[in-house]
Amino acid sequence: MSRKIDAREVRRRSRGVAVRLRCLVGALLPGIALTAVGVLGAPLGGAGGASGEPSALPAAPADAAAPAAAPPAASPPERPVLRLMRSGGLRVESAALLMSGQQGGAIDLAVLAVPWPAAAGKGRVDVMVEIDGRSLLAAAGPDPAPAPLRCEVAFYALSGQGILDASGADVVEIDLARARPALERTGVRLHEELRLPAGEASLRVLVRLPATRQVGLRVVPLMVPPAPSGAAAAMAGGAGLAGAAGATGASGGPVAEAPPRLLTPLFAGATSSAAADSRPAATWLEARLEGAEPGPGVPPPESAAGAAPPQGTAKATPPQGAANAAPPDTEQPAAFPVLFAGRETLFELPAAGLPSSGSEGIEASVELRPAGGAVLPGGGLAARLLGRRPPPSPHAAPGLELLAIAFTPPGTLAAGAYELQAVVRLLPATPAARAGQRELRSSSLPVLVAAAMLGENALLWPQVVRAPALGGMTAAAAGGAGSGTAGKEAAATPDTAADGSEPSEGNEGKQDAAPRTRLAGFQAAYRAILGDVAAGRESAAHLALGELEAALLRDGALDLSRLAAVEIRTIRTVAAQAPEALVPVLHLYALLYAESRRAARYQLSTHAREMTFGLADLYARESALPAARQLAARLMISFGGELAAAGGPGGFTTKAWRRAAAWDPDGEPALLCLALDAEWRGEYRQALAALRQLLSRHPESAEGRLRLAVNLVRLGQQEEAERELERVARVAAGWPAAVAYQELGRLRIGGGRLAAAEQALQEGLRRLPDDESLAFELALVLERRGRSAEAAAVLARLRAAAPEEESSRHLYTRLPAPLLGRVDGEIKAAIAERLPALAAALAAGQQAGSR
Amino acid sequence: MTGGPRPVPGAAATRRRRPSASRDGPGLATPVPPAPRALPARMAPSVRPFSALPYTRLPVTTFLLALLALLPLGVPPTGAGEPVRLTMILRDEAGAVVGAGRPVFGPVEIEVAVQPAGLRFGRLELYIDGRRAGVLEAPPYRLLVDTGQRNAEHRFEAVAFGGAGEALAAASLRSGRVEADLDVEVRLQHLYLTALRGGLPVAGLGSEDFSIYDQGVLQRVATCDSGDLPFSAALLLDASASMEGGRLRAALAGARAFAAALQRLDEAKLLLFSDRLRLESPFTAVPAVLELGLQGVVAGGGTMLNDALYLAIKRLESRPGRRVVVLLSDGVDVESVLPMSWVRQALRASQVVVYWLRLPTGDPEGARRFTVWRNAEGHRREAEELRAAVLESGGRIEQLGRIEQVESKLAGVAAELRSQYALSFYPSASLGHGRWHDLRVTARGRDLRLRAQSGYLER
Repeated sequence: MSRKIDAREVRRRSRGVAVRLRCLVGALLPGIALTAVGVLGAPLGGAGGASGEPSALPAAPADAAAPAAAPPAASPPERPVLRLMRSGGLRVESAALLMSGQQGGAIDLAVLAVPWPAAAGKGRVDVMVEIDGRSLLAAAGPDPAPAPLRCEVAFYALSGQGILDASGADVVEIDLARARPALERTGVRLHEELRLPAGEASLRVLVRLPATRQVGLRVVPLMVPPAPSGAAAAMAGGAGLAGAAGATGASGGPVAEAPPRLLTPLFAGATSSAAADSRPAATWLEARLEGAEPGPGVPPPESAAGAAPPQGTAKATPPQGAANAAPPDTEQPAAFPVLFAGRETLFELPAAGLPSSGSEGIEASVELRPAGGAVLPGGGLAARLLGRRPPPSPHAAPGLELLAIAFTPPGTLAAGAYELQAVVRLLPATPAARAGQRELRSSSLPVLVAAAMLGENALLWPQVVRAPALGGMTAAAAGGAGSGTAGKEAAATPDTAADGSEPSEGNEGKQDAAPRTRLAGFQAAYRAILGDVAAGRESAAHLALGELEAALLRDGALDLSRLAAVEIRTIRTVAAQAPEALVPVLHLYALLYAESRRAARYQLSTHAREMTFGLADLYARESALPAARQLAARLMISFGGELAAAGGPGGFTTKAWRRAAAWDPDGEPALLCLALDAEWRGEYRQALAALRQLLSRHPESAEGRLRLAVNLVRLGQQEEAERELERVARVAAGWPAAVAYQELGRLRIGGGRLAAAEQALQEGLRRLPDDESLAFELALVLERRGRSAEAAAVLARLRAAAPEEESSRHLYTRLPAPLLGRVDGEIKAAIAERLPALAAALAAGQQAGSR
Repeated sequence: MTGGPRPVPGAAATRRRRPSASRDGPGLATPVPPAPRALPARMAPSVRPFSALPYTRLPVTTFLLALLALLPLGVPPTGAGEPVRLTMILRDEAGAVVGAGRPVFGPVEIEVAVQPAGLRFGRLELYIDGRRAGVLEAPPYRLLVDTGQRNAEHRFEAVAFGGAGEALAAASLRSGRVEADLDVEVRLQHLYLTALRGGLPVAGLGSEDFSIYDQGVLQRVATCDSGDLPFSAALLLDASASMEGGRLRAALAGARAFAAALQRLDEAKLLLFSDRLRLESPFTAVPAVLELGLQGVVAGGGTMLNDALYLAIKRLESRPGRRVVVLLSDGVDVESVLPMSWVRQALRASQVVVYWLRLPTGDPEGARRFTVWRNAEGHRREAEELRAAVLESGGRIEQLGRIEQVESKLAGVAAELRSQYALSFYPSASLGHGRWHDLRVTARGRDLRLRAQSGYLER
């Protein structure tokens, strides 16, 4: 399968984004009903959405090859074993899942994104999706209907700012009667092509079975490199690089002046029929649209041992006329490559802007690190640079080439998930090295290392991960979801321990029965994170906690309530030692909430929010310090500010500030925030009550008195309001004074007392000559009093404001920033004071546990 | 004022030297050498001496006086960080400076002084009444133009461009006219009217086709004009945070297109607002002037729609002829100090026509909108007041489905303004100063649909 998704398509689909986002909130936050029903385009699987039943699909545009699965029938089958069809759009649920970015699900899959330099604004990204057949069968249910199994595959590419840059939706139709044996062995593989602008992006791939609503979702971070300078024009002009490639890197000619760069390492995956012939047990069912461009070809692994030429030999410079041809026996790159300990492996590395031909001037090595861990002892592994060639035409660009590299994972390497990074060192004589760039690193790629004894019949990850040596991990748990974050999440999961638990069938229900070892591992990791907090590494700790929790939720090892229970159990042991240690832990969850909200990880943010509330309650109750409730109130005020920024007034914001006011009834910030929240919701009597309470304790609060007056006007108590406004105008400065004059003016104009209004407004403008609102009001009064020329003169003095200048009335709508800043300062100091208590409580808990 | 032309010292001598020619309107422009009174012996072929101007038969001497000058705009800094300022000076034939607002006739020398002194531009363009009168490539920036003999206001504008063609600074100056016949028109009530058939403008109607009812009483139509009637427009653009994400950019592109469609004698100004006034250009017919200062404008902040509309109305009040506000906003006011009911009163008094290009919102009626300043009912009431004010003014509300429609919708407004009729009548009865008169206009022909203001305040 291969298709281009361009900006027009994105625009067409983006009309549904707002709807999808609303649905996302409804889908992921309990208690909020879904109200939107429409998304763009025809839903996948037709009208079967509500019931989960599949429905008729559009006519199939193309057939897919299924060499290994097709039975050797005498006559051709009526339908192919595998068909790939384009779909008109996404279901609400699918869109919501994609936007959520939460990885997991019952269907196991691996995704590889291979970005190429952007030109003419966009770069090509080849996406390889490999779906584990056995988990797909399990997700289809024990007795799937005799009709072909339909599987939706959807792609969303979001920019670093969260904007949808590209999307796609396809349907794979599988004739289970004939494909089941092949699916049991391996699975289905697709190739997609996206066009993305240069920069960071997040690729999200969703596999969904409409019939059972089972899903698998993977998120892959990627970076689309910019085109080398001077290359963009050539590429934009449609030059396929047939000529340009000959003048660049591989042939040793001058390359563009961009800094040298390594892209994503490409390992072979077994897909072609030729490969299937020689290694029938290790072949994917490949779904491809007819006529689609192939993905980047990679030489098969065995060429490294025998056929690979020595460094710098003729293969580095293809003969004239064959510059863009891949080697004849290339395979599509593997989404989740399998390496064998002690056996040499070949991969190709796209590189741009390298300075010279052959192997002169550069040295290659490979670094392997356990997913989420440090580089293996001994550093990088020596690698051989076998040759250099230009990439085939769809991927070609000036200065871009493929380096063929071979290396051997150590025979002693433990089986498991690793991250691989290729390293190229530029020798000092090269221009780039002279410019200070001596070492280049590729993108990090998740790989799976298997014991060599698995043999020739287990070359693909679905086969390998089921092997006992790897403890039945899923692709996601093994790091196959992509690179970077996914790998770290996997590492944090106790799943990665070879604990001998039964292999996953991709069934979340079964995974709910998490073994004790997992819980023990999780608790240990959780305590380690609290240890980071105690050591003052709060930022790192909240990120680590997010990843740890995400991994558990993703794999279904724990649901939200059980996750909270496990964490609270640990926290209680800490609190029993020292209740003051709760304060930094509470703040950790407040940070996690903010971070999860920003990253749209709603499960995590829900959990973090509830933990923050719960810990605040616990602390206010347990602490023996006289000022504990006041401190808890401060924490709630600050947290309420975060909640307000995220979700506006009402709901949890109100809850936070009400608690703050209850714990610290004399506190000005809590009462002011509570009043503002009530004003925002149109609950003016509630606002008035909070403000009267505030002014009884803090009669000097100008903002409080101003808000009191404004709400008195709203409730028809004009006389008292006018007195309060006059008082504020007299004693306050800055925006509260300006708003007081404005409101005095409004009150008096509304009452027909134009002279009194003018007097107040003139006085206000004398004191605050830059206040536009006062000028507007005064002009209106003067006009009504028949003094048009004076009115015009007042307005003539108005000048456009600078972007950073906010109006006094806009400031009235804001949270009291100075007060909240002071609160945050107090919280910071309180946390710093309590870190030793947390460290001591953790140490005491550790000792108790070991006894 | 007597209204007759007054002799200006030195004018007679000049007049005697000129060839016989007469011009009714502003016309020929001639660059003036550095010293207006000391002509160089040799000049470039395109440069004509002051004395070579076509002779104006009517006395030039009526004129004019002193100067004025400038509206420094945009003022991007020079390399040294000092802002660029243009000052426009008019001189009559005798070399006397003509002040702003004073009448001008016949040949006038325009001088543009530049600060910092000695600064050179890529070019400097001079306009009279929206029509380009000349281009000066190098200092001194002086040009001789013939303003004609019509008793009319003229608008002089200068726009300086950089080497890359970007507008750097501008200045403008407006002359006046001899106030002789203004009293005659004081009681005359004007009415601007759009006639549509099947949604398309109808041309060729005359006064006999219309009936005007003031408080239900049929009035005699005094004048009926149509065609390219000049107008003054204030483009009022919402630049608040709700315009982020490309919406403001699209709105500004629409404003540029609107400005480009201005005809000679039309004028427009741009007002950008959020919770404060963010940008205000002068009235101009030169698109480049409107664009000054737009670079780097970003959406953000709250919304003071009512206050901004009030300001636009007041800025238009002193303009002659048709006055139009084109408002581009979702119509949700948050931070204005003036309620829309007060602004509506000002709109009634001004007889400004408001066109509202209404951007889509998730909650068009404000039924679920709460802000610190207003509850849902308050927002609903404000939206309804705005809607009523627009329709009462004789304008219309154009609902936009997408921001990309701005350009075409603004073009539609411009086209509608071009096809309007200007009717006038002498009200047959007075209700007293400041009282509201209900107006109704009908036309012969059942399938004609008319849109006009629904009343006026008696002055």
